[in-house]
Amino acid sequence: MTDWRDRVPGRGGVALIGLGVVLLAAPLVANDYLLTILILILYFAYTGQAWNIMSGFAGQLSLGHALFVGLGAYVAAALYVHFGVAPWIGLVAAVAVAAACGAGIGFLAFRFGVAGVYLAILTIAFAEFARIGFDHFAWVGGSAGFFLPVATYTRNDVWNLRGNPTMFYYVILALTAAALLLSHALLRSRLGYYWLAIREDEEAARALGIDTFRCKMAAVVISAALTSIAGVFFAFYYNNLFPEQVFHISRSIELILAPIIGGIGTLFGPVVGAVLLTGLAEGLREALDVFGFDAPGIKQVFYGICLLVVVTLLPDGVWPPLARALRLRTREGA
Amino acid sequence: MSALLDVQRLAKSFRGLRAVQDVSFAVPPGAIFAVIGPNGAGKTTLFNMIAGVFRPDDGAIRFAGERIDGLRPDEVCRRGIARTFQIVRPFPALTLEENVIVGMLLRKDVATARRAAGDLLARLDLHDKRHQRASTLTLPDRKRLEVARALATEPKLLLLDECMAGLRPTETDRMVAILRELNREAGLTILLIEHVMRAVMALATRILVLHHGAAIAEGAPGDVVRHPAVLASYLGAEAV
Repeated sequence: MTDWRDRVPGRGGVALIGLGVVLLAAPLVANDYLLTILILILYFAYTGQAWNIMSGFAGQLSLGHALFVGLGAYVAAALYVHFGVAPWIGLVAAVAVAAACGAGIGFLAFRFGVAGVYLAILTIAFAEFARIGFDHFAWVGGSAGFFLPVATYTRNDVWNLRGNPTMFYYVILALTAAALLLSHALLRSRLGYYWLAIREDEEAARALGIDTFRCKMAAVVISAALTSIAGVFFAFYYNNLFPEQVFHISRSIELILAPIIGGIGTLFGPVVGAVLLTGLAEGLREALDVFGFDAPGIKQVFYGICLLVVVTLLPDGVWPPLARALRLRTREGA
Repeated sequence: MSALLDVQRLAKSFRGLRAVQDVSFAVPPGAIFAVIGPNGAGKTTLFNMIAGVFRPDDGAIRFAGERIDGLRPDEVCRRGIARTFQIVRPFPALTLEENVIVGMLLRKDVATARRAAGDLLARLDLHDKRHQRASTLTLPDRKRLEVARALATEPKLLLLDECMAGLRPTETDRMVAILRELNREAGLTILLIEHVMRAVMALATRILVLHHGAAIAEGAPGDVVRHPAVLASYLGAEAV
């Protein structure tokens, strides 16, 4: 029989609802600077979540996810600039292109048993192909960059993603919430269980009747598709795209830091990691500014220190011990 | 009565080493069939061909009348053959319950599997530990989890690769009792590779002896252990 207590949200549920209310109300009190930091945090929470599906849940390490960000960004931006296609329509094309690329890479890798570091190298290689290719792709500006028209907008145009930081904030907040819900649903699905099994021991998974090839393909395609949506956001938020920046390996690395710090393969790890990393890095920069220090590259140094601390002291990431400390009921690590 | 598993003239070589040559046998439904033999006799290779890990060089494997040699391991499992691994392979970061649920999802939906997992773990005396991670288990418990996870796929034939190795005598007896119960109540057919003769003699209705990749004897347990070739190659004269 269902206990009435099961119908009432537990500590975790209450905390999540509270967090949601705070985030929804944030633009009422936050200035534009704080909003841009929140946007950055949510952006990394979202991309971390998308990467986590392939590499955290299914255990297929990608170090080239900038490829999917870049593809999403360029497809939607090109359709908007050249044909006036609204970003929400362009998004469909972006997702299709990224998913197809993910499927191609996945097919090559999984058909021939490429896994672990070799898979990681393969994903880097494809991101590099794209970087070099787009450097010479004149239709979208080549290495000189591709720019979306910028003007001062008197009102927010959500359909064309033109507007002030508040509008972008709500868009990325909605995307992050959706990605979290999707990850949650996936983890509780048959496919989610199969991913965890493959991550833990692929041969044992196969012996239990799991078609590991298909499951791994699903992971890379879903992850690529979600990541490309972040790319669309990126293009319309920053309004400029350079192959040397969007496809660069440092972008791929940056994108996986949040889930590594927060806890690979966990549901809330990418979110916690993004808050910690971006929040603290920006805070540190502010503090240095106040004291008059000018230290270029301090963010990277800070990221490095964070990574060292977490890897040595909290090998499961920050979230699993944090959840235990807060006594939240989770099936994290699972 | 036609055999559930029918192996015909099976052969497999690794770079010129003939691991299995010309092995034929049949396992009738409801039997407990043991394969014994010294180390390197080809038992695990034979097993891996049935389970779909290796494709045989020659010969045929039929399961319930259908050719299954050359199928992938997941396809073999889908048809109703589940296996355990000699060196246990639990999903370490998952709980025992989740380990079993993964197997159950082959034939059940998620909600049903989550409800049923506890009962299956109880059959293997693992119910109290169902929320522990598999990595925390001792070897005997890992062996039991391995069997539970294989059973979760609802097999018609269960392949057990040395599931008693490393167990103490009392633990072996408990495993024997569990397997007998499954065989008697659910009519589960079992094919086991085993070194622990105590378990083999207690369980098996029929024994096949492999030596240097070839079958040297097959028959009822009482006859096989008195077979001269078996005594010479494996058991030793003092075993009688």
